[in-house]
Amino acid sequence: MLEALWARGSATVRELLESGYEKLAYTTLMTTLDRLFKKGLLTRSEEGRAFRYRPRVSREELHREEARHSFRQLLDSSPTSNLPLSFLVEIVGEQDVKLLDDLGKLVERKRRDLNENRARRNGRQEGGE
Amino acid sequence: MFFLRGFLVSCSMAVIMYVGLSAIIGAASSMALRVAARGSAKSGADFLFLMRLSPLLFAMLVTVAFVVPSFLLLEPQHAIEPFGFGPLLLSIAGFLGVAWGLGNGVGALRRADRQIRAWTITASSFEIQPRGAFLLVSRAADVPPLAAAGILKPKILVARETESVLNERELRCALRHEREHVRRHDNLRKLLLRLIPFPGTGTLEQAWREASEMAADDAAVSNASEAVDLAAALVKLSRSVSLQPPAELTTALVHSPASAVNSRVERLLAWKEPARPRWSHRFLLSCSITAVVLTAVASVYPQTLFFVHSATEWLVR
Repeated sequence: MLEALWARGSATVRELLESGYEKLAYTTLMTTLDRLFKKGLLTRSEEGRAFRYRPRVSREELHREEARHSFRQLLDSSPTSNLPLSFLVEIVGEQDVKLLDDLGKLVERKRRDLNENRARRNGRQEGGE
Repeated sequence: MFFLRGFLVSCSMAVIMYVGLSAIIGAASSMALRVAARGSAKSGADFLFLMRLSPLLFAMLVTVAFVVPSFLLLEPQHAIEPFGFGPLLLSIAGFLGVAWGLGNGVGALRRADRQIRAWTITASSFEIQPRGAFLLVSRAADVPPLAAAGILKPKILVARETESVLNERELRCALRHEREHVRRHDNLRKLLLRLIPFPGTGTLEQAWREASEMAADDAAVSNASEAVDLAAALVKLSRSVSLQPPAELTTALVHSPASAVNSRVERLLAWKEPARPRWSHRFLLSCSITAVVLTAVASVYPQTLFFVHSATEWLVR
């Protein structure tokens, strides 16, 4: 639902129903939006007899907040605060190694493509001569 | 007394303008980032840096061009007027701000100096052709893989392993990247930012640092093959970087975890011939805008002085 609101900018319950949430009941959608509003994720303004809902936070801000919450939970979960932190550094390190491997492969593929193109161009020039 | 009052009033006005504009610039960071992303990395970096400096430049310009002349010309020298505490407090706040900035800058300079001395204590210099104006390359044991360090005469430092990790083409591209940082005086710019700290402008400064890295990447490559060489250098050197903050007042080819070089590598792999900037049009446009602004300022200068003087009168009372 948040994805739909981020994409549209704002919407009423009726507009969301018409844009891909036909399977949900009107009241279900309304209740969910109301809960999101009460959680502070949406703002709303009256429009006729309905409400128009807008996301209060961007996708990036929400992800950042979720990450912050998860990290805080992780750090609070252990009596020794260094332990989860060292796990975190380890995980980030593993992610980095994987990412660098992927980037390395991309670079090698691009280099191969460029060399092949160059060889093909040279071959065509020699054939022409 | 007259000159002391003039000095305090000028300082207070400069402080008000600097703080107000800095707060606005800090709040409008995301908008500035969007504008900077529209052009090339170089123009984006220049724009972001100018935005960050603009409160200081504007405050200084308005103070020198309007506040001081309006006080000297329109304030009666021998009049005895009540003088509130406002200008005094604002001036003190301004001086404290300047002292804080200077302390920040001097501290950063000292730390950078210590770091460079530690890095270069066992360094030996060597040359790689073509030799640039500042391309004194030193080899040291524990420096970042490749860095430009120093403010006035920056040195390009290459760690011993870097030479063996990179092939010749990759090393040349990487050195050109650092030479561009030296040419653009990026370390000096970092020092300037240290001198004018202001809460809420961190996003803008971080965006400038990223844009300046990309601008140096762009300047270091002139075809797709060189772009791939630089991307390869970034990936190879990122493997040897540990998670630690970059050294003070130093630009390094890689100084952050892999996720930060991801966008630079992808950008280099999608390298395309940059469009030639239309300098004649830009130059004409800049000249026209400058001429219009100067004419407008000149035509309303006397009225502006009166307005500024009224504002300073209000401040004094």
